[in-house]
Amino acid sequence: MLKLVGLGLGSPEYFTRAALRELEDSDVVYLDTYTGFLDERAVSELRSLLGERLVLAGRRDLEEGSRRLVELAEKEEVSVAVPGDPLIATTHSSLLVEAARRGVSWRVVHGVSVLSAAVSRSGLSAYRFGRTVTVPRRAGAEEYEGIYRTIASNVELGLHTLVLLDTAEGGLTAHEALRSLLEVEASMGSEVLSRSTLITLTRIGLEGEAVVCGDADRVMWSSLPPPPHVLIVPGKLHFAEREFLERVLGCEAPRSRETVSPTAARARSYIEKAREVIGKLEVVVEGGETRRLLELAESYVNDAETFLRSGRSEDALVAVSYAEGIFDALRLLGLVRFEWPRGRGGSFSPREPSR
Amino acid sequence: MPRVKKISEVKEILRNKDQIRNIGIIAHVDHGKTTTTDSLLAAAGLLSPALAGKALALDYLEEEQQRQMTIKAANISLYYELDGKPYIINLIDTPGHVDFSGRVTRALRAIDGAIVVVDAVEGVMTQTETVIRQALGERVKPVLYINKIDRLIKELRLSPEKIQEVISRIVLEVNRLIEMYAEPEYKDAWKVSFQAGTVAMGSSKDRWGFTLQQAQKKGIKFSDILKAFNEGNIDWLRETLPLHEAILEMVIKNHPPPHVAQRYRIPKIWKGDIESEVGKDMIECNDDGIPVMIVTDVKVDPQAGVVATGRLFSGTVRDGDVLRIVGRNIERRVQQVTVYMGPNREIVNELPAGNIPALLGIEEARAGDTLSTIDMVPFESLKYVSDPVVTVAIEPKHSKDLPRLVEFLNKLTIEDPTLVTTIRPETGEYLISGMGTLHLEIALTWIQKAGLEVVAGKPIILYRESVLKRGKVFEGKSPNKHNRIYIYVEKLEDEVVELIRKGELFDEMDRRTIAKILRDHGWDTDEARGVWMIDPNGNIFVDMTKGAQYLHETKAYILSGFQRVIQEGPLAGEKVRGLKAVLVNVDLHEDPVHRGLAQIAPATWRAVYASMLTAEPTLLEPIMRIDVKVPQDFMGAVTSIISSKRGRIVNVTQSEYVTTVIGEIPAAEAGDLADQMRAATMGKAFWGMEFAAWRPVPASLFEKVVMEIRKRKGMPLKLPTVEDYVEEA
Ligand SMILES: Nc1nc2c(ncn2[C@@H]2O[C@H](COP(=O)(O)OP(=O)(O)O)[C@@H](O)[C@H]2O)c(=O)[nH]1
Ligand SMILES: [Mg+2]
Repeated sequence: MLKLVGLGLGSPEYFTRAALRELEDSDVVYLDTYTGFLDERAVSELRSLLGERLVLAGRRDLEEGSRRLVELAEKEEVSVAVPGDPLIATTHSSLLVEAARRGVSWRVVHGVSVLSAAVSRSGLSAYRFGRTVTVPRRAGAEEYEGIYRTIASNVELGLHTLVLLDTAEGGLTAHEALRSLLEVEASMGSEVLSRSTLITLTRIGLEGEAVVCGDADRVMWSSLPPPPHVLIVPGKLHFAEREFLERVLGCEAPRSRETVSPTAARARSYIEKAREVIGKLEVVVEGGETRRLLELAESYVNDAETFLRSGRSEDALVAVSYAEGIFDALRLLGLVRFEWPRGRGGSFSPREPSR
Repeated sequence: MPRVKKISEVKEILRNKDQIRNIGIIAHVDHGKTTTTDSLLAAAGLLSPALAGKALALDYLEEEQQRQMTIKAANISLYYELDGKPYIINLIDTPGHVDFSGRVTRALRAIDGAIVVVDAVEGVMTQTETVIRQALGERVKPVLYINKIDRLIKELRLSPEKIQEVISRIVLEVNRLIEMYAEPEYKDAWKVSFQAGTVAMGSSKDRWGFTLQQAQKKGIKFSDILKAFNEGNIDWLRETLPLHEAILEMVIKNHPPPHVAQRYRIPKIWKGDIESEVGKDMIECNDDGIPVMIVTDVKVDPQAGVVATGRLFSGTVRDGDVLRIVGRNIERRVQQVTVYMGPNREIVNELPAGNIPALLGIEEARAGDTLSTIDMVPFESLKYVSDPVVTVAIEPKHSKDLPRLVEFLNKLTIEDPTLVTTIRPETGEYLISGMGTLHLEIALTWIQKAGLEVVAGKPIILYRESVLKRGKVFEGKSPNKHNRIYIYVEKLEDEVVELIRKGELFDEMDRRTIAKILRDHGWDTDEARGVWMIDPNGNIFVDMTKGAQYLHETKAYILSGFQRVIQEGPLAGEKVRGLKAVLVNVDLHEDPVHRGLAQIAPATWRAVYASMLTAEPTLLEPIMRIDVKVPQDFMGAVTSIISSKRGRIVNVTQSEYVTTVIGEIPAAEAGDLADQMRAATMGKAFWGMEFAAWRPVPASLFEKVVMEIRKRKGMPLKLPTVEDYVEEA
């Protein structure tokens, strides 16, 4: 039998009776030491409970050694003890797939996961969360960019983001992660995080639990207890959520993102540029289709404006790009003369060589 | 002619580009490069007043020691006055033996003219051909110096008519090579002849020599020279026809000054846009332009630290300037600008375009780097990954020497990046790898000369792993099973591998240029655009996925998995060459913590290894080209030795005195060649070897060689199978 046993938030107080019973009943217990956090008391309690049967397992043992582990479970009671809930935010599902494939029986014992604890502690509605993301301990700029995009696209949809911070190697702090995310944001010329209310939850369910809610500056300047840390980026706030942040978490003036999506911001800046071009454009060759095409372009810009007002930012971007295309074509044909205003956005230049 | 010059006088001359020549000597090994350099240095080396007193002593220095100096100097500046006008001639060191590393090309890039030295008795040899071809390829103008004329008279006792015949034939042969390898517009202009004054002859050993013009001007006939020589009147020859006069006048009159040469050379040797600002600056050799210098040599000086010498193509370099090492994201301040005076360096504080500065303070610079103040297209791509073919283990005789040995090995690799040293004190492993046994021998000599006693092991041949056809697509799973990567491999076209080797296709190039080059070599447009990485060992990684999620964030991890394959092939853990890996699809976990390096790299290498095993994996061995000169009678003995060593005879040419046998043998068989050759020819064979190509190990030996290597490396003694890397379906 292969058992996946959840250990909860990381202190012995969160061990469930079910967990302790199943562990005691095992011939061997592999303790996952890399996907989540356990404090020293939790580990020593397990050690005194299980003695020699407790094996501290690294990534290698549980991933590359998965086949051996399942083979062992054919004959013996094998437990894999995992912080949190064993199949949440881990990749241990592959162990059960292997067990099922070999016809080895299995069981799952659930624990409290930070995923539910953080959400519930934040007071935000669980229904209004978007994709969760984890920041690896040694994430590079490219990964931070990807993480940032996940947050931004949640915000765009008005959804909150739970940002888990890696617990490996002493754990990533909210400060470290936030600093990198803000750098990425600055380099992308965006401002989702720097203008948002943020919630950091540290050591939930452990000694020294703390929650700080405020803008990026407030979070960066408050001193936080050691990891594990979790960060939440709220999207659009419901009035009940806002009230909770204010009254319970002590946040001054929580900001709800009136979803100005990056797409909408882009469409807005392109529309402004297109308007500027319309204002100063000179017609070089009169007659023919020039005027008609200019009118057509202008009506696309108007459309874009309308789309944007009704929240259809993607349609707005498409419409304004179409107008830009017409302007560029007329210019390349020598029929009109103008220059795109400098700065972000504006006309596209091909990124790839043409065939 | 006073060669003692104050620094201020030298600086004044170096400001007038008309009075500068940047040249090199190129020759087949033993034809007299070193001897010629020594005699030029002795007669015309620039001296600073501070050194002048010691310079007298220089003449008394032990010859060996003096040779050391010429060997060690990156540049030797010579001084000569012609028609009352002073000239400074920079004689830049070009590597002695031809190798596969691009070092020769690099040095050739810094010079505008070359003196081709040919041994009168041996005539034009393979390396003569190679170096002439390479020089012409970099638009370096040749002149010819026929050396060892004394041997024709003394050893071969040829009649004056015969001597003239031999010499004319060498001129003819050199011109045939120029006809063959020069670009059309230079074919005629660059041919050499007595009439044009582009051929000199003489004896470097005895330090006399002449051109037709000089002999005529001095009213000396060929018969006078023969007479003097036969009477043993070498002093008269040396006084009347000093060698340096012959060679330096030939150089000044026929080789272009830097600003003239750069007009037609930059478009050839630099791949950037010549219409750009920096392009124009270099073409005009503009003192006020953007500084651009190509580093041709790096030495570690015990006092000054790293000294980077090279050619300044534009701008002016001054003490305190900040230069960047192009493409390497390093900026350093120039501590001091120095120039070579004779074989020594003197501080000049600044130097304008067209010169050969030696810069102190650019610690990270390596031969081949381009230095500038802007980010520009470099002269060559970063090829610090060198491609050695043999390695030898060494061990200090006295363990107390260990720290010094380690320090010296480090110094060696800075000075010669094609020499790769591996230092692993934990396992007591000290390895030196190089481009051939000769290369290693030279390295060992240096170690000995530094006063370090070492015991060297048996040289080990390095192989490469490759594939011969296209493999199947394999799915590589990450250890956590939540990521899948689909890859197939195939043989990379030989011509593309060759482009990479020549540095015409490299990773730092702009992707559009890469795509264009590959399309021109028959690649499909999408593939050509999808190149992710070009590995200098001759491998390419291509992305052919369509709209795959999270790919951008995992690219670096996938490439690092591929890197591992390139470093250690599946057959025997040897480096891989000529592999094209194509990523066809990926399936990646949503969350970045579950698709880190530890997951993605193994998934990648598993797929690549498995696919390689289905693509007819093969082992490539280094093949050396051997070039033997023997008296006719021993030709049979030589050819049979070559054949007995899995070799192949490529060509045999007969001349009156010697027979030249050109062949190829695998480096693995060259071990006892020296002894056998000596025994079979009674020591009458002269021969040289250089790396020629990588070729598949014959099928009959394949398994044996693979197992030998696996055994040496402590790998399991069985050939790997697909199941070792991927699960059966
Ligand atoms: N007879 C004779 N021997 C020479 C002459 N020049 C060089 N040599 C000898 O040829 C050998 C190789 O010369 P070296 O300068 O080391 O050749 P490198 O390999 O081209 O540098 C040495 O033994 C020299 O003494 C010459 O003019 N006459
Ligand atoms: Mg030499």
